[in-house]
Amino acid sequence: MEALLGGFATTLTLDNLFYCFVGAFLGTVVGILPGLGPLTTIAILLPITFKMDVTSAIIMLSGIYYGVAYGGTVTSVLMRIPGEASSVVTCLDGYEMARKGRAGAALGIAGLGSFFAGTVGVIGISFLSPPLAELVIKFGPAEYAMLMLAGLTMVTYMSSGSLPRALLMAAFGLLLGTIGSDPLNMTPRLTFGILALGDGVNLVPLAIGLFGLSEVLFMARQKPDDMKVLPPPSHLLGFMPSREEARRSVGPVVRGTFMGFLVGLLPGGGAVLASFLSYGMERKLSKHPEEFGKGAVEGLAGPESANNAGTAGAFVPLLCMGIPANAVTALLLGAFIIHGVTPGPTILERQPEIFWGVVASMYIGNVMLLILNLPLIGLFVRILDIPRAYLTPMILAVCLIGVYSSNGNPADVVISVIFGFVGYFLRRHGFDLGIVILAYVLGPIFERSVRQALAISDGDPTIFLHSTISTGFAIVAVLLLLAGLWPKKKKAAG
Amino acid sequence: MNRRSVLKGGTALAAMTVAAPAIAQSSKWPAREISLINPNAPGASTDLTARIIAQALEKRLNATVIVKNVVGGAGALGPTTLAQSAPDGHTMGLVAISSHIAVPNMMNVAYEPWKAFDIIGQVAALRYGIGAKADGPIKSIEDLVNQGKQKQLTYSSNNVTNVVAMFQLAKLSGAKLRWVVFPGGVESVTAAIGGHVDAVIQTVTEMRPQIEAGKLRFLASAAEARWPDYPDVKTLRELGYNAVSNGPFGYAFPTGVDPAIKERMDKALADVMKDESVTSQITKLGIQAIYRDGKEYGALLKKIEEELVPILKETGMAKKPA
Repeated sequence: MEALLGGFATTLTLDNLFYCFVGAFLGTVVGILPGLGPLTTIAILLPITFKMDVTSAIIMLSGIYYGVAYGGTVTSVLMRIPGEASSVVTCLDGYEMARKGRAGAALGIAGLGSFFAGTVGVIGISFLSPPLAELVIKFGPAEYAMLMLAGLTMVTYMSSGSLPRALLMAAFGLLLGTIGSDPLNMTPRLTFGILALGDGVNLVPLAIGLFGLSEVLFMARQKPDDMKVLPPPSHLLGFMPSREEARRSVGPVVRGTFMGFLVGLLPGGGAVLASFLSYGMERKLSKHPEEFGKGAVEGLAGPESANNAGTAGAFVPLLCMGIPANAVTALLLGAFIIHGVTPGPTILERQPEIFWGVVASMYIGNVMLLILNLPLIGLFVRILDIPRAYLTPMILAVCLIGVYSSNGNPADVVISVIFGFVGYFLRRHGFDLGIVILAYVLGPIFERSVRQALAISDGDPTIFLHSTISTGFAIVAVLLLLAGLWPKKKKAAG
Repeated sequence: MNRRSVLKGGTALAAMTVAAPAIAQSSKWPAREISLINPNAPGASTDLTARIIAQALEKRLNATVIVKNVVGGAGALGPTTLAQSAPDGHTMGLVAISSHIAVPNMMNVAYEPWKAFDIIGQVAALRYGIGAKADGPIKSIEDLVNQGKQKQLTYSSNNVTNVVAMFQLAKLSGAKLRWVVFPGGVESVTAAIGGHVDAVIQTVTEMRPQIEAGKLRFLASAAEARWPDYPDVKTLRELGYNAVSNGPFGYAFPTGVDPAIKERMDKALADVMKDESVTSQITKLGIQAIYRDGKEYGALLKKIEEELVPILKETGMAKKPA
């Protein structure tokens, strides 16, 4: 506690507050612009920080990272363009809410939920870091394999249609995930000799194609009358959710926060998996499962909190073990090292002022983000006032620029357009696209973990039941699967 | 005159017309920003090194040097882009084991590794080491070898260039050591300290935090020399096994750059590598700042190729002959 106060003392200098604000602000902006992710931004800013004070540099770069989780919501809700991977789920119900005139409320709930989740996440980091970091090293290939299996059973919870349809989409997602280099011996698979596919289909072009571009095609085919979107209330407090919405959000926010933090600890899936798990869980728990996909507030509040808590959770293995959870935290790790900070078990002894400085800056950064984001909501929802004839080409442009800038690779734009048409076709026939993304994200991790585990055990499948953790997840997977199938069977029989 | 020779003549003519303005260019080079292509993602040690070098080159060349991460194609996209870019001195890029040996031997690429690049020089080398869980049964390389003779042991690593020393060790000692591929270096180390694999071979950068924390036992240096920060830990060679993993990287132009421009860039890079502040920043990353000129570096890569190609074949990573 004393150490944390020391951290606040470090952060509450004018310089550090300024850098905290710059980081949080840039993060929000970058989160809003699809494609231009935190990875590119941090990489570009890194050389500038060489000359800066270590703590200030790290506070600013971290601010970009967690600020993105706030900004990513805006385009998902207003235009159905996932700003980054962990906001894909937000597109499902957030966008539908916006179409019902609740855009302000959706962004308000997302903002408040994010703030709650971010703050609880930082509290988690402050008090539980060392023991939680120990948990992370317990996760080997076998444990990951079973966790991913449990995650994949979520397919049965995500779908609003029939089970065979859901499974078909899951198979499609898994197939997309196998494109690229074989995870173990690196030989190209299903690339048809196309160099651009050597690393597989990237998530950004896939998600923006399936969600954003397919929506543009939908709009183009709609009669003008059908396109009417209810105008959101434009008065100052238009972002306030109604009493009913607020009441229904509390549970999902709290559940999403705790689950998101725990899943976010794990390298690999992190925030993306957390948002999907939360969506599946809320759908199962909800009294109104039929509203999911049509603007259910729970389907927005839960995942949005989960991805922010997951972002915070990823800091635990980063700071305490030096283990990055994803590409962005890997870059942050590089930034730490370049500044002579070695994240890892020794950071608390050797450089406590940096550890606690960063943690304290995250408390302050979250408050800043809330103050920054709420007033802007009024401005953002005005986007919906733009006539569709102008808005649609704008969305198209934003999508394509976003896809290109994510990797600077023109082939991604082509891939994205192709998936735009695929997405349009699938949505017209009532398939769930969320499942495709879920299977696409988890499938490759599942495959790799299974094959690593079998390489370790020399082909003996009982390795998946050797540890308590993996056995536990295997049981969870079976239970989830049974619970997911049960009511549907009943309905079919009755 | 058949069609092919007409085409040849045409190419020669085109080459001449390209060459003419290139000579005129050399006096006003650099005319615009210089792109430095890195095939790895932002944050990789090669990327961080590139950003340090780029900043130092800017002062000496009086031009902006931008690091461009051309990531994709399982590492093939960067060198392919470099090989295909205009040889006007405004595009340079990373060349390493990946561009010259691993990638061209594993997949079909649109460039000839030993012809497409005009190497400027080597700037750094990754230093490898072998580690095992601190409280596990393997306390030394001797333990690793002896236990490996009794049963199959596993080790983690994320890249084929890292594991050369382990393959050589297995061959020289007769121990059964199986490589389990992990997607990243830190993940490999984590798998070892979690006891999921028996050992790990990775770079200093990735292993040091866990060694310092007492979670990972540092068994041997897999580099040519001992690690300066751990002078007591011997190299595999000193332990009697002639096994080394090399991880050099440096930069090249696409072939065809005006020699005058190349010479200025050669000088600038050599000068950068004499700069104490640059080398100390690179060393901070846990990698060795080593300068070799283009010729020496090319020769080193050629030597590594002879060691690596058999391993690629053995692991099934080498592409099938067309």
